[in-house]
Amino acid sequence: MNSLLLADLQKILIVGMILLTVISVSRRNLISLINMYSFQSFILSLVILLIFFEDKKIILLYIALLTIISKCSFIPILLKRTQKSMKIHVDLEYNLFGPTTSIFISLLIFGMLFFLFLGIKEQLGANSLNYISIIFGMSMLFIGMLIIIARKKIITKIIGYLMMENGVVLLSIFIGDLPLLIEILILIDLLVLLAITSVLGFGMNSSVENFHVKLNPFRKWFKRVSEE
Amino acid sequence: MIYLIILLFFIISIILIITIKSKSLANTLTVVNSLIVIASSIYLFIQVTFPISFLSNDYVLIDALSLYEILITGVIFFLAAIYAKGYVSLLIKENELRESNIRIFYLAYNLLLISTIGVFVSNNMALLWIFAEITTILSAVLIVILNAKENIVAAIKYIFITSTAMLFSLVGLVFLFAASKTAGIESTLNWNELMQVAGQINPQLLLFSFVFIFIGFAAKSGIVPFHAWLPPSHAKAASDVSVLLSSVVLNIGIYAIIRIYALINPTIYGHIASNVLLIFGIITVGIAGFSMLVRRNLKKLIAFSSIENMGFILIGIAVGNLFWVLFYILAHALTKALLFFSAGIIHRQYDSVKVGEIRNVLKLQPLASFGLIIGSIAIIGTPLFPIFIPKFFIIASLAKLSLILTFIVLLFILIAAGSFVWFIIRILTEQGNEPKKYIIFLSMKLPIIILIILLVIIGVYLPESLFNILNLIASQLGFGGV
Repeated sequence: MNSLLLADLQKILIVGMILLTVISVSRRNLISLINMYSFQSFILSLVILLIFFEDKKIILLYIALLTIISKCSFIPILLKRTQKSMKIHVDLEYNLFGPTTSIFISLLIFGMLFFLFLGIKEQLGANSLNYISIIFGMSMLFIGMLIIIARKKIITKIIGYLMMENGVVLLSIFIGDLPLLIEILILIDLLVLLAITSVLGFGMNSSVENFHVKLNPFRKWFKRVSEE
Repeated sequence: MIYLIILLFFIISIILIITIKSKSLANTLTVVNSLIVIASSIYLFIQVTFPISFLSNDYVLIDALSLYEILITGVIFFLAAIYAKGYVSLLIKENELRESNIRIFYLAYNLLLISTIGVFVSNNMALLWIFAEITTILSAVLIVILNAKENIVAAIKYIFITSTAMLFSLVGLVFLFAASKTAGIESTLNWNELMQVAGQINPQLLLFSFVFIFIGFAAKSGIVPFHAWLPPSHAKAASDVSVLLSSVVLNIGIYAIIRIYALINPTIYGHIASNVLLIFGIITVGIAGFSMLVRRNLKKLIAFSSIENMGFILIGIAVGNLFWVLFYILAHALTKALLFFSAGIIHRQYDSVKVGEIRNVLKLQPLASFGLIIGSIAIIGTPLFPIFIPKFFIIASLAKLSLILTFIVLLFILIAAGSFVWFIIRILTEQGNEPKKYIIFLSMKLPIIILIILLVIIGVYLPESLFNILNLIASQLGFGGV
């Protein structure tokens, strides 16, 4: 395959990743959310594989394999099991922003990042593909955070966190290859996840109560003002 | 060789804690572990020249700053382990802790000690990040160990806020890794190599990565606006765990911020980074001070005081007075430990730490109230106690920079101090029908006595060896000594 085609393929795949993130901002069905995460991780591993075909660095192959094993199979299975034991199927509640506002905000984040990063593009010595992956990785980071802030159920929050982490991996592969460290980081993330799920196992229901109680008065005030 | 033996001992003690079902054995092993940490760090201070390298790639390195932090960690863990002996058995008696969870408690306790040391000895910033994440997980485990639903909420809040912010730190590290190439060396995250070429790294990229790294570690040390996790987790955790969180785990964030600030300080954007720290520090002190005014829960009050002190440390770093910042870290750790230990005894006596429910405390728990009085006098920065001198000198350095900011900070500190004293007076003078006196074990009283003596000694007498060490660290990091 020639390298131009490879670069285009990578661009298309990266766009697919960010689309999945934006869709999960408004998705309500938990199973479909988990599937989306594993699909996104699968695309991530494909991107890594494509870079491997170009650079021939064997460590990239390991990372792609680790991604497939941990993020496409192990973590989703774990999440599905937790979801089953908690007996909830949909996450309907939103904090602060509703689904439409959230999608709108994610677009805004994306646009803002695009212009913010123009400033340091040259210092990083980035070509167009690297630049796109930086912007998209950062956007995934912020949109993942939006999911954590905007959604109430813990499982959705975990998925938001994992998507943020996918964004970081995308970013780090294109600008810094930190190969060995990333491997360890993946393990750490698994640990965090296991800790969270074991915390859940201690007997938590499904959502973090009083997480946003303090913001409620402002929200009510805001609602009243906007209704008047 | 000696390090391997120490590591082996740690591993064996952890295996013993897991396998043998004995409360007292687990406690003894924990005490011994922390004693070893103290002894070996003192030995290294006396015998060895810095830095001590272990691996050929310099991922792990001990310099004076790491050793100083390890020493503080060891002392606090040692005292908390002694305290835990009595406190844990009281928790079991009151049915707040399941007997089967004791082994998990001591396991997490020892692992937290090891991973905290891991943070301080990692020279590679990514390794430091990983260990910092592990300390978050282990602290969360220590918070949820009690049988209460609020603890789970507090721990989840802690994990989510800190890990989310720490991902931003990771992005910052990736950018730092890319930026190090601009200095003409092979890309690296080893702090000592970065420090050597700090002046040649592209300053714009360095500033960019500094801001991102700062976000994560600021969340780890409870800087406003990332502080929302701190009050609930410190208040809901068992008191000896609160001590670890406040006196040790908060230091991790500050330690990383000091390291990364030392990198950007010599570049032309150093003043911007310093302004960032200054703004966050002042906002933190202010918000914490005002929040303390309305507290009715003793442990929450002490937690907010931690936020205030972390903000003040940030101001100290921003004005470049590293010598006194380091002393402040030590003083704060010891004072906070004293306050939380005393609050723990009061919690056992009244089964609550709220104003109005604590009555006749001077008569029922004289030592705890004495510890509380000494601790609150010390934490607000009264002369003759160790926080006074560093606070004085940091404010003096700030005054050289800007007089208006100095007045603002002084006002905030005054508010914080006033609310602290007002609170303590309220709980000490409350009278009413007297509950039965709760018998407190000697092992819980001992740390309080040790801490009071230590605080008074350090407050009036700065040993020359400590002075030299602090001077050495400050000059190693590129800040002037005293």
